[in-house]
Amino acid sequence: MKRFRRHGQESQRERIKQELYGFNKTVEHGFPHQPSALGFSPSLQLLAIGTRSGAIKLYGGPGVEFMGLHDENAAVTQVHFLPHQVELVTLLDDNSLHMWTLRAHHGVSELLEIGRFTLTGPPGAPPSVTCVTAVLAHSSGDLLLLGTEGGHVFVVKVPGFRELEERNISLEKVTNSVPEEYGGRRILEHVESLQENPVNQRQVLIGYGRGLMVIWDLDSQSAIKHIPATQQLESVWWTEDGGHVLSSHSDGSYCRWKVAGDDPQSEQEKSEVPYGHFPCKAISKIIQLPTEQGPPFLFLSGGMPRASYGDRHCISVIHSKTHVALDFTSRIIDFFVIRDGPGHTGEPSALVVLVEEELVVIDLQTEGWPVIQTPYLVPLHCSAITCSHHVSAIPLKLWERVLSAGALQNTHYSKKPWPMTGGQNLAPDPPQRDLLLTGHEDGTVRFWDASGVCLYPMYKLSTAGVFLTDSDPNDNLNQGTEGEWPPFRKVGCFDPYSDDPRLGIQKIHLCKYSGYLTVAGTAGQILVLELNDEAAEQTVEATVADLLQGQEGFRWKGHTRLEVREEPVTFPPGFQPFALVQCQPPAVVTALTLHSEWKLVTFGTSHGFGLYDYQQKNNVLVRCTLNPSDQLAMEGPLSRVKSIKKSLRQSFRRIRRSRVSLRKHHVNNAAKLQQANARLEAELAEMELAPVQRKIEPRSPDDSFTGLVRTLYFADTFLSDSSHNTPSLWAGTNGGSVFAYQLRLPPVECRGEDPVTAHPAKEIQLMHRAPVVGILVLDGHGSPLPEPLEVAHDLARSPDMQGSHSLLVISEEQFKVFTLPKVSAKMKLKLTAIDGSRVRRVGVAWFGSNRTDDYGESGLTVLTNQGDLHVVSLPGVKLQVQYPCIRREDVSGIASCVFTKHGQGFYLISPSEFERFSLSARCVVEPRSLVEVPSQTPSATLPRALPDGASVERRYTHCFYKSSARRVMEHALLNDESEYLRNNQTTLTELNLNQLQHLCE
Amino acid sequence: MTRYSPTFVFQFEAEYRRFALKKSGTCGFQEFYRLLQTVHHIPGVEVLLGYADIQGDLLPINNDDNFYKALSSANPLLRIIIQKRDVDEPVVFATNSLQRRKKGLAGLRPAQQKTKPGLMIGLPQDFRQISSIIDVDILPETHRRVRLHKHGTHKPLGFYIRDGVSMRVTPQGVEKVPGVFISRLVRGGLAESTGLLGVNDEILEVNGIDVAGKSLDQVTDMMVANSHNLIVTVKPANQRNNVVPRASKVSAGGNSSSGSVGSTFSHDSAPSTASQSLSHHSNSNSVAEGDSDEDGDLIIETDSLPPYLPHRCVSNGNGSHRESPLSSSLGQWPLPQSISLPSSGSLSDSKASLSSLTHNGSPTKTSSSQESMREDGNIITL
Repeated sequence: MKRFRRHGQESQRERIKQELYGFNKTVEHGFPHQPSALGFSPSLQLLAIGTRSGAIKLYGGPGVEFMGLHDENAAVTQVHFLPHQVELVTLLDDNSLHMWTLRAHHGVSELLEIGRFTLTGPPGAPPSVTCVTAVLAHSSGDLLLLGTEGGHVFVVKVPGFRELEERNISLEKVTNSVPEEYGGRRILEHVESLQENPVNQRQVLIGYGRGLMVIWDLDSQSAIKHIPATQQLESVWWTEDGGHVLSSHSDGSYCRWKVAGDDPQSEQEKSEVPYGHFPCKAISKIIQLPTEQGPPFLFLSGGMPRASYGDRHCISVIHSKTHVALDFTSRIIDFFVIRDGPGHTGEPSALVVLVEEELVVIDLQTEGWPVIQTPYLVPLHCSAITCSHHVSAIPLKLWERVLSAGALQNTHYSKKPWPMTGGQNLAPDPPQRDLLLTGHEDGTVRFWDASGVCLYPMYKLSTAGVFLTDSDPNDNLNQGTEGEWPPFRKVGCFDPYSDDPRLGIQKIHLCKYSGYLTVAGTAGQILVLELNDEAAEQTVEATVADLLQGQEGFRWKGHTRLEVREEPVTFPPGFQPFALVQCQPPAVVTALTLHSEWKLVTFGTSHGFGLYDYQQKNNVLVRCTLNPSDQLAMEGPLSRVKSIKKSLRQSFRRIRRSRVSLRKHHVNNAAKLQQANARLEAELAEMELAPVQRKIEPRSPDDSFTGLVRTLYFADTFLSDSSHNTPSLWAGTNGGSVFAYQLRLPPVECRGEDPVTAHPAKEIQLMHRAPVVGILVLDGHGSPLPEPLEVAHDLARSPDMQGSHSLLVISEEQFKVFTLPKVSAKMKLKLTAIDGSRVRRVGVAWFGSNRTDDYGESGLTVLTNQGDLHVVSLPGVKLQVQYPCIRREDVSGIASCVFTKHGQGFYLISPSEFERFSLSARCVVEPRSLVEVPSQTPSATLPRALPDGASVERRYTHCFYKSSARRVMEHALLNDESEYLRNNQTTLTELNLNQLQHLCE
Repeated sequence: MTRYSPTFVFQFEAEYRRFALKKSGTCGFQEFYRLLQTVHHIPGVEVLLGYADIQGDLLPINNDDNFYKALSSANPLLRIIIQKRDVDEPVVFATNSLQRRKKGLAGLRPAQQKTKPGLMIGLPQDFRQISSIIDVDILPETHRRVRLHKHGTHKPLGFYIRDGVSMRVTPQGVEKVPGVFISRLVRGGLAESTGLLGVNDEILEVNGIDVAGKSLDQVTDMMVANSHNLIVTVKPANQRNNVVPRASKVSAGGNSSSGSVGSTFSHDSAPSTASQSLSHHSNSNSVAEGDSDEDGDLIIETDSLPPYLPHRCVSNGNGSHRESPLSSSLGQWPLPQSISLPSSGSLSDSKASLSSLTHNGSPTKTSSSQESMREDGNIITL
């Protein structure tokens, strides 16, 4: 009977679990890693990006996104939409063609692969015969012309991929129908380009690699005209009136050919090398579009003078007298032009360029051709991401102030709405305003609107201005001078080069109620910032926190601290620094927490932790946690990075030197080199033979980095006796120690004068000595304590102070609950001892039931080093659910994970992309959009009306709903972890380099 | 040369003596024994000597070797418990491991007259158990379940593991599957000195949990997480020394290995442990309760904090350690209450922690220096 009842309870619990938890990877934010192909459908107003990993992503209006993945792990080389349809064809570098469609399902479109096809040549033919080099999706909508490396054009019926053998245009047919002096005498090479006559869909232009172009009539199966270009062909464009053909060539020239008239041979009207005189690089793509009145727009990609600007990535836009060479910071993949008008055949309105690291859209209708800010595909990695921080449910006031500060930074952007409008965004408006903050290597913090499907940039904060750095901030401005040729203009924001790696942001904490922000960096700098709507000029004074506390015998071998600007600095509206703490030694800050109600900031490094009063601007407490025998902690992680640079430079010098000496003593050195090579080989062989070994040893107090502070936590709880709750500070270290301090705050009226004091109250040394990654105090009801100011703002239920509090210490190996105020172990959940995984990231989340609005539970969201996600219940610390999420080899993905307070999370799947996931059954943010088939018949070429998609304005007119009881339980995100793995990797690289150096000698 | 002098605290019928002794000038056991008799004015009374080592275990002193060991563990305080030999209930010298206590060891029997010269052979009970073969009756003959007790030794566990390929007999025939193997034993390490583990032994389970399908790193982390009480089930590469289960209790002589120093086979107590760990596996991830061996977190509480309400300005706000002379703080520690030793019976709950120490402390003591706490903590760490 008893057993039966228990069984009933269990199934009840299982049902509740299903209502609370559910795992979904919902959307990828940011810019696709390694894009390799671009496609555009004017009729659908959708753009498609293919990547080297075989992903295909479609984007329309903001919020309209689709993603597909090819089964083959091959790069997408071309993407073509079938005109006026919802199908698209992709070509992979394994020579397979894939047909995708957008199929409506329950009112929402899905991207589905519906067919695949590989050309089969005649038996015995070399593979080049069927290797596809050019694809033309014919405007009839049911034909695909495939040009191959062998020079043949195959005709395939789509969407079924049925080969129409009788209509194939073989090389022989072409050579027979052009005069012998062009066709017969030399090989035409591969098909470089296939173009359809814009006014006569029966005519197709075939451009061969060697230069010859042939206009082929699909009905009569014969060549009607040929264009005798002699330079290696790069691309072809048929002008809109059908009267001219433009060809671009590998020598940097382009030609215009007249194709109207009956003459079987076209005349060259014009040939030009735009950046001429000296040898130029190829013009890889050419587009010319007419305007209603006046001269046409001409777009050329490449063509730069080889010697002086051969390394630039440029697209030249020429319109009348205006000529600009848009200079991108990374390689150009492809570009297209969006045109106005109901049938998208009017004036060119925007130039869309896909470069390797970002998507840039240029407004062609506004004076000066400004850039339009993209609502998606924003390069998150314009400087490498070093940390991230998520804040849920931002109050409207703060949101608006951040937005307006951001608006002032974006004045150089075009005011035109986003030109891509395809599809309808059907996703419900996000229930709350969420902010994702990313810290970057160049010392900037970027604020992203992470409420919905589009990760939209809101505001960028730069901390570099506080410090003296080598670079002049005006370096990059006003670069283009009058009369410069080519007329370069820098576009795009991808700039991976950091002036000073010490500026890198390591930890961020924002209080959403007070607008106080604290950020900490690589060189032990901690800035406290305040949101100000006006620009202000102020001096930021540094307070030094000596974390060594007189520990002797240590010498910091890492980088020096950053020099602070002594003179007042003007800070633009937005977050302005007003206090700076400088840790000494200037090691990377590993933990950071702000308490806006108490006006305290606490920070930790590998040497200890400190408590700073930002109202009185002084240190309240500095505690050294360093183990006296830990020498490694004194070597800054950056010293290794530096030494890599140094050793690289040295090895280059050595190589150069050895080259010089090689010439002198040729024989002698050759022998030496051989010796070195032999040694290297032997060593490599040994490395392969020796298996990977792991030492089994319990952690000892003498291990390295035991003093590294991993987590810091403020709590108002019962630290000394069970009748008085007091403010307290908790710190957890890498060596499994927890330090608790009782804080004494003066009454509000003399908060400015009387000192804040801290007294050591407790110390816990976990026997298993695993790093402490999170500390949390649970109130009398077992709920985590609310965030500072949350209760004051009526957004949280005040914590229960009647029942006894308990302390949850989360180490990498286990979750352990202790009683308070007398600390004794109450219960625990072991993780590592059971399945060998370790806690990497932990957060506190509120899970609402998806069945009833009023039920929910708080729990811990946990990511392990195996890449698994767990939910652990509170206060019972029982494992609820477990989902595999990240590959365990993806160390940077695991290290980058950040949790939200409603059971969602983000992690980097590439340097430029966040994957968003949800563990909550209720709180899911995913794209829901519908794309409809263009209404008219595919064959018509008349201008047509297209149902207008979602407009950009839409997202700002959200009716944000007021916070409700549902959000009552919000809790401090537990703190995270440091960058070991990265450091370890660096060490390895360094070792290898050193080895190589040795061997080179 | 170390010149510091260990301080001795003695307990003799609830009588305490504290005196200092030069470390360098120490002599043998017999001389020390006589010294104690003099100090306590009990010449001629037969006594048993025991000391509390760093792990809090009560260990005997009855020959030169363990006397020197005791001296070396004093830093600088060494607590020695003296008991009359004819006391009814003998002192139990044992580790704090639960099962040992359950077994109720017979305690220290006077093996020989101290005054008699001759060979002194320690009884197994006088040694701390460092390893054992367990579950012989439930495991296949080809497997061996070894328990390594890390606590109490300064020896490293001392072994390395690697990935490898294992042969398994399946219905489909012999199959190669990935496995984890011992790759190296550290000289002088615990693993080597027990002789129960060898290079190329395949690791099958860690504390009752199958390692099949787990990566090398996972197995490493599992072993480290269990390192204080590690039970590994191995398939020895050398199958000649296997333990053959007998019908009755296996007392298993030293057939397992050469040079197994101090390894005993506590067979009777083992299944409980194993089944416990196995049950963890079955309802895996439930809160592991009752495994006494691990709750020994060291907790230091400073409950001498002044009450919160009156705001007193404390100048020493930087939290640095306040040094206080060792002797003064020690003087305030009444010994019997402050430490929990197996003999005193206060260790009924294995979770007893240092907290008892401070809570029983008199409220008059000033914010006790952390240094001295550490001192005690080291002695009493469980």
